[in-house]
Amino acid sequence: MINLKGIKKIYANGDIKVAALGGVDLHVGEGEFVAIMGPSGSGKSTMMNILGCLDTPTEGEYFLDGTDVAKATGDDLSVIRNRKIGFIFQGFNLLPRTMAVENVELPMLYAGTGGKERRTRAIAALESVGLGERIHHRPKELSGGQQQRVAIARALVTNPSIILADEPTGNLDSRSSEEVMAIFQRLHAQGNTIIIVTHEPDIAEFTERIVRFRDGHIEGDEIVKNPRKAQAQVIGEEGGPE
Amino acid sequence: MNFLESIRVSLRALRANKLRSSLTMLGIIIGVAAVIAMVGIGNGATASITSQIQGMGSNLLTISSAQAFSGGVSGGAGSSASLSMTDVSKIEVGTAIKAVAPVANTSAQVVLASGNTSTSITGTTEDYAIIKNVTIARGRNITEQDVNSSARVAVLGPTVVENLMGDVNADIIGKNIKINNVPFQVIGVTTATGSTGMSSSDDMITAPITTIQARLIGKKTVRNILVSATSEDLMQIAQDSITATLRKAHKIQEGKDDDFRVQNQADMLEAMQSVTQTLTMLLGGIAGISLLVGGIGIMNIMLVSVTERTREIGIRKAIGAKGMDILLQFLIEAVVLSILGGGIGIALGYGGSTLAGKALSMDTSISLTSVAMAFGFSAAIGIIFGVFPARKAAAMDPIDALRFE
Ligand SMILES: Nc1ncnc2c1ncn2[C@@H]1O[C@H](COP(=O)(O)OP(=O)(O)OP(=O)(O)O)[C@@H](O)[C@H]1O
Ligand SMILES: [Mg+2]
Repeated sequence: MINLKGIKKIYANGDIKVAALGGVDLHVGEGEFVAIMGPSGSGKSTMMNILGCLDTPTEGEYFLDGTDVAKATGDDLSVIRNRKIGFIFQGFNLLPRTMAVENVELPMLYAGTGGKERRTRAIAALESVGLGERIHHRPKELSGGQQQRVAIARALVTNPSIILADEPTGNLDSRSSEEVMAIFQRLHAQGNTIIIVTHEPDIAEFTERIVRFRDGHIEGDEIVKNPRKAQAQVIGEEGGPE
Repeated sequence: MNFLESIRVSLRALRANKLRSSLTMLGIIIGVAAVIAMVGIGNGATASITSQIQGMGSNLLTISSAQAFSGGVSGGAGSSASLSMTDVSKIEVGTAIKAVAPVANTSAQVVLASGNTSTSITGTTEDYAIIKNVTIARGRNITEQDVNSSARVAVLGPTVVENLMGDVNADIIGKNIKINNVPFQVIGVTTATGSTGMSSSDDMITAPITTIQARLIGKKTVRNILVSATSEDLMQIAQDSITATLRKAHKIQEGKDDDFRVQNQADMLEAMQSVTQTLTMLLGGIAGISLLVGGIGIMNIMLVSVTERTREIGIRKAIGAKGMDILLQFLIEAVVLSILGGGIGIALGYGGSTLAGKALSMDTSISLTSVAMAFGFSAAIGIIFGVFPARKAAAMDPIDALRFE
């Protein structure tokens, strides 16, 4: 599924070179649920951006579903992001002044899916994250937790190979965080591959594997013995708490 | 993403920011409206001057006293008038010359029991109708005898009849009208020619020149002598023979300048047209510059818009938009703004020039080519000035765009 070999990312600011990633090897198999942890500045976001094909490594090989994407550029990366990757951002990154359902339709728009099918699938995705009654709301009419669930719906609507989330609960209170984790656990149970970045150990406990970063290197890689089960109050309780 | 979807996305973005979209369009609207109106008015002026000059008669030569021109006041011929009825009789009808008619004109108040009007009065002779291509609809034309006897008779244009009696076809033959309090008997009515403007034969009274000189002007002045050449080819010969005749009649010595001027209708037409065409081009050029400024306005706003929507661009790219999708979105926005602005501008320009035409009482002509050109031009402006901002947007790196605050 995901295979990284000697991934380096070096930022050059004038004469000063910062190695955000100093040679990372990582393998993530299909259906895994991984948490990436580590102190601030250890290269987690850099890693996620490379995994999500938003950024390219300075050096190294990145095989996604067997194809090397490390050397891909521009429009090729756009296509890979569109087809294979569902990315969830800490800051939600929804289009403002645009209805939830239209936000969720967006990746299908660029995939060339027809208008009717787009709408049906977007509504289904929003229903699956418990927002079936909020499809015509605009981002600023939704709570943080609801916005993040719209973002999740947008990430999974295209059935991507992997779902990536950089601090998906970073802006949420503990209750909304747990709701979001419950959705991830359910997607994982359905066989999706999920990688999240988090600072919070109790969020990482919802996953099945924890990869620890320090100074651009992998410091530890362990299996979570007994993953906690997230309480999914929200599912079935349409709309969720305000 | 297909083209239709791109258009929909662009239209939504424009609608989301209505005020800014309309203000951006304003530059193009004003530019296009100005081009259309200016060219329309210019063309109208050219056409109306052309028809006025052509309406003066066919193969026309106009003889006037040179002083009338050098003095700058064409009416002040008075004491220095160099044309007389003697000159008229010297110019003989022949192979090159079809008809000769003197003109002494004034404008006057015309009164009949049923109404009054003010119109221009032309004192002339029988041949005037031939030169002007005017036919008599009812009654008769003035005759040589009328001229010799200074008869107080008048031939009316149809507009004059309508103004006096309220009906073009009213029976006015034989009635007595008062022109500046001098009684005249109506002997004929001319056929409508449809010509407008100052030399319209529809809104005019013709009478024997001798009567007009004696009763209305009080001087034996001949303002112009109109000569109709038998054909266009013979105009030069006619002109030369008139010049020779008049130089001899006025006893002008060899080497001295003429004290009269013979003007050729074609020359007048050419001179006037070149003036109005230059004017049209000048006005159109100035309006074109404002169109250019409008285009730069579009580029300016689009650049601001691209910067402002950097995050949006980042989001779109992050979830799979290609460079071309983003490029098209912004390019279409620019083109829609300019085309919409162009359309509104054409409508406004058309309205404006029609109004101006009404005010100046001339037919403004908006040609299809000028509409097509303005439309094409505004679309081109949208593309030219939209490409730069759109390319800037398309070239953005998703990671940098998402980090943009
Ligand atoms: N665009 C950039 N230019 C220069 N240096 C950068 C850039 N982006 C990241 N870095 C550097 O790379 C290193 C890793 O950054 P990264 O954002 O991956 O950290 P992180 O683990 O996500 O931290 P946090 O937990 O605070 O989000 C940092 O030292 C950072 O300063
Ligand atoms: Mg980070």
